[in-house]
Amino acid sequence: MRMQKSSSSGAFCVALVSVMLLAGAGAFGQSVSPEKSCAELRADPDQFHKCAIARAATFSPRRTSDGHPDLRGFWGRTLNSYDLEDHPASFMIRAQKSMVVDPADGKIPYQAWAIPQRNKNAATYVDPNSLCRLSGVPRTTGYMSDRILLHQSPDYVAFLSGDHGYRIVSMKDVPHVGQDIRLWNGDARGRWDGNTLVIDVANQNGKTWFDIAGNFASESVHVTERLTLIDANTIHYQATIDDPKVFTRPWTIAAALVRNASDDKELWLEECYEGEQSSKRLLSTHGRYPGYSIAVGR
Amino acid sequence: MLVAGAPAYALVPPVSAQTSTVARTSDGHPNLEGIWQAVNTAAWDVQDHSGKFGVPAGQGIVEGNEIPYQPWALAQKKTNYEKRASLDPEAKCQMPGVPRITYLPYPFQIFQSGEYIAIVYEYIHINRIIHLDGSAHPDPELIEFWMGDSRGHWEGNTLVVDVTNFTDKTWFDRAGNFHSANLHVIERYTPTGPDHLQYEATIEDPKVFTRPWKISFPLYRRQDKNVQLLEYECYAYAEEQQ
Repeated sequence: MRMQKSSSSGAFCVALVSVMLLAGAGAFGQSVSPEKSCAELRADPDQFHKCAIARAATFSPRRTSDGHPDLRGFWGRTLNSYDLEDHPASFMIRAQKSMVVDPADGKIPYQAWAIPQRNKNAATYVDPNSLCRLSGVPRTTGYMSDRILLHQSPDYVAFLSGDHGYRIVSMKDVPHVGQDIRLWNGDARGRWDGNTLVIDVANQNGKTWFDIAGNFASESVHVTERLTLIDANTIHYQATIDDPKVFTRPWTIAAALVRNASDDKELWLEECYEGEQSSKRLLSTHGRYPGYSIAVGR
Repeated sequence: MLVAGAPAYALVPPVSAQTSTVARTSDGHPNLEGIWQAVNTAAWDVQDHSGKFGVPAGQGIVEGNEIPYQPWALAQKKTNYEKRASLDPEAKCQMPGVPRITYLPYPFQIFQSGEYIAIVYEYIHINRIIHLDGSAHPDPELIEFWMGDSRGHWEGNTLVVDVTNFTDKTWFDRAGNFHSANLHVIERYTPTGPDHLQYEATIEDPKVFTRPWKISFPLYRRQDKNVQLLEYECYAYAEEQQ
């Protein structure tokens, strides 16, 4: 999304990014591979996931000079962030199958108390993302942005975005920052497991939602992301979410990230807060999400 | 383009004794990757200034210490200073623009490839992609950015970044020094050793100044054990206090 003169598209960013872009999700990634791409199954995360596991077993990715799979380039989402779980179409929202591939029923395995909390979130609070907050993990990487520039250096992998900030993944063998440091996008440590980039994310602040529907975790959440090239233009993105305070068991989502094949190789920094016009309207009917600790009275 | 580029980050041996302390990428340019931070008081005032309550005294970063304002602009600067608590974009948690972002008291990290230099800042998750492909700025009549539009090239060991397409909304410091949307900044990043970059910026804005002027100061590689960028989500913190 590109802004026009008068600098900021904050109103766009806030009011429309959640909805309008959904219509565009999945517009990229026409595979140039002669082989049929698993990405063609991207609208069905479970089918894509199974296809991707099989394809990853045989695909040999191009490598960087230090021998690791070369994930560099521009990537975009194929799914939207309205609701991780299966949902029908509604006003301005496309239907989408559940991104949850484990458990097999496609449902987030909430503890009993947490389901009403999830429902209360969307009814009571503004999606934090709509107030120009960083989106948290996995939302910011897995199904939120249409243009992510993935950078690889020997010690770092960086995800750079024009409209959703950035993430830096340290590939160095150092422990997570201290537990008193809480971060919207968490603290990321990466390693290679064969051809898969595995990212361990801790220290999130419990103030982000997984989606517009109010699906949530606490600040204790531990996310393990796995990014695997399954053909030249498709990344199999998986995130396993573990939070014993909110869920009965760890659960996993899967989505395709596809190479952005457009000729536009630039990333323009989009203002959000600077021109943000709609927060007052949003906050006239919904409150600010206080984060897990307060929301559940802990 | 990006994907076709050769891996650009492998270190190769230094090319001469003179530059033996400067790490290089496989394409021969200085390797600027790392976590950097300015250590000066320009965030408060880019010019010489005495200490005040909450403001450390400081020797300025402006060459010759004079900012060549046009008369009307000098008066505006003084008004800005008096009303800084409400007018300063930093006080409102807005993007600080260039070069101000460089000397805010927060670290930033540089990522480098053959096609671009990415500078990511701890301060409100700002990132700048500096395109190295020789492309032109977009039409400033059609688009402007709080952080400007950055196009770079190498001149020997120096990364030169041309920044245009600014808004008139950003300032240079907390003292009210300002510019118009016609601001044109030419930044120069030059390694002077393994852990230091010399930063220089030429400021042009014929609507506000009588001539171009320069700032310069060193950037230091952060040496702290396990140092990494964290977050400074200014407006999120401010709104939580409301």
